[in-house]
Amino acid sequence: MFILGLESSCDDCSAAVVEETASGPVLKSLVRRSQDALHGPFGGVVPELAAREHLLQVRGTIAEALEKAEIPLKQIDRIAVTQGPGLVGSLLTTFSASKAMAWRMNTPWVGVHHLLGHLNAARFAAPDLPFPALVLLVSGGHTHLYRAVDWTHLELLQKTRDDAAGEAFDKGARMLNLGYPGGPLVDACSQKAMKAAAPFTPPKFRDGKAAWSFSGLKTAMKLRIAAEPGLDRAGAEDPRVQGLCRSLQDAVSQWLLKPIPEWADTIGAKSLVVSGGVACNSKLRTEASALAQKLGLRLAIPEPKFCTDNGAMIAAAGAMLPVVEPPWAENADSGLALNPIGCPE
Amino acid sequence: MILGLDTATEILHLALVDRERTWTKRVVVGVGRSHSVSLLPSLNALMAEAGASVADLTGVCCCAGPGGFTSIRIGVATAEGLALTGLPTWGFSSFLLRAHALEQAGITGSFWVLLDGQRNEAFIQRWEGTEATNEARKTPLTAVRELIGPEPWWAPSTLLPKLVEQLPPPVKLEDEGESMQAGLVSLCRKLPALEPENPIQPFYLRETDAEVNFPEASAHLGDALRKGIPR
Repeated sequence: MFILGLESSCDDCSAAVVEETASGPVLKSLVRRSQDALHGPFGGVVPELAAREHLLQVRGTIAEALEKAEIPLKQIDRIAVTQGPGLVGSLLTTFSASKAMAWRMNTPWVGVHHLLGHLNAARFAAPDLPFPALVLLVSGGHTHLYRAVDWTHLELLQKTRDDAAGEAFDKGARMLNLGYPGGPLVDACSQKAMKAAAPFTPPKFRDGKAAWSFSGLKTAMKLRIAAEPGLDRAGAEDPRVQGLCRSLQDAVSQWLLKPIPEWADTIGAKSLVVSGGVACNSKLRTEASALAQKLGLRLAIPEPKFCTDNGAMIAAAGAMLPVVEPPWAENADSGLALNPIGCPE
Repeated sequence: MILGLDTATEILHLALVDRERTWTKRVVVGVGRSHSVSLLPSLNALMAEAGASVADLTGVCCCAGPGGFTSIRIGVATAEGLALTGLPTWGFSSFLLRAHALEQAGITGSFWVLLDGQRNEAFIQRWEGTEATNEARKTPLTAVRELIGPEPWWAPSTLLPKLVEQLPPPVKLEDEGESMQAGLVSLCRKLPALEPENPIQPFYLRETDAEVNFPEASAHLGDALRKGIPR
């Protein structure tokens, strides 16, 4: 079965063709048109600009994915598209286009929850993943831990109490004038560091739980930078900037993984999935690997091209969900809940 | 058979044009409701009425704005999706649709077309029949009178209450909905003689708030991301 997967929930316009085989999904093509250069000067994503750019790119992105796969639209067996959550103007571009394509070609169609996409990104390398799985979804907008009993069901265990982890990278990089998006820039900078700066103090919670909070990390970064005049303009080659980036990355990685052992024990996890844009981070990947080995968990971290938002993960998730019957009066939903689509209670 | 599609306001207009035969549909979707929900079911109903199948379609004419940002997006993205199935596409402005609607209603000569620009502003353009005689612009409602002087003008009934007190009586359409559908049919007959548009580039006429509030950060933005492509 060939599936066309489409994703435009935030600032990446992406389309992919995936073949679902007996041994799991196989990527035939993946096109991702990033808007980093568009939003960079604003220091973050501007929703209306993102939506306008998606609309200009949607036709070319999908056409390119079909062309690269050498599979014409008439041979596509299913169209899967992100229905939400996300920026509604952005969502509506691929969402509306996908329904129109399915309508004219009489192709089965399914709306996919964005986070189920991130879970299913792990299916490319680990189609035989044992469940239940602990699923850490971490990006610029999410820092959530779920229990998954299969590829279509996520049950929330805990989430950040304030900012997402990726926000700490974006804002940290911005304070150091390194550019946008912050994750890859902080990662590259920290890898050049001869040594880390002083570690950041982890947040403590009154209930004693290993919860997440990243807003204090932004404040701590701000204070550290203010304490060293000129550091904000020193640039990525400055050893002090590199050391600070490594400390930031170490903190994010360690804090993210802290709750994992207890939750693994609580739910009897057999595997650990780490997905989302922050899962590209080299330190987090290394530390998660070591932790999974220590806990005896099978680890599944998608390769970086499947971690950031992409159409392939939506295709992979769409392959596992029941198709929606026409006339597809569904709407894109910026706050889409996990359970109503594709997730039997 | 050409499909005409206009989602720029809270009213959905659809048309099917097959040589001399035409079928049209006007659906009041309502403010705050989404064309995303009503578009395909309405299109199915119109196709059934025409006894047409999806294979009968040969092209799509779609309104590219100005109008509601989200509304425009749903219509244009739908046309873009249909383009990927092999149909040529043509975009037209909300002003051109009104000019054709007025022409179909037998109104001749020059006139101003005013559309609701929200935020106490009007989108406005001057026309001679179906030819624009100036660039479309947005203007505060309070400045409309000075701009158009004593010339004839038309505005949709939803905008009239904000204008009638300051302006001379408007040009009136006996049946606004019927005229809009006739205008859409007229465009579906004329546009396919032109070169198709790939992709359809929307015409917002209003820049984003980001551009207004952060002009320095907006220096790299092209026209298509500012006010869109004028038509």
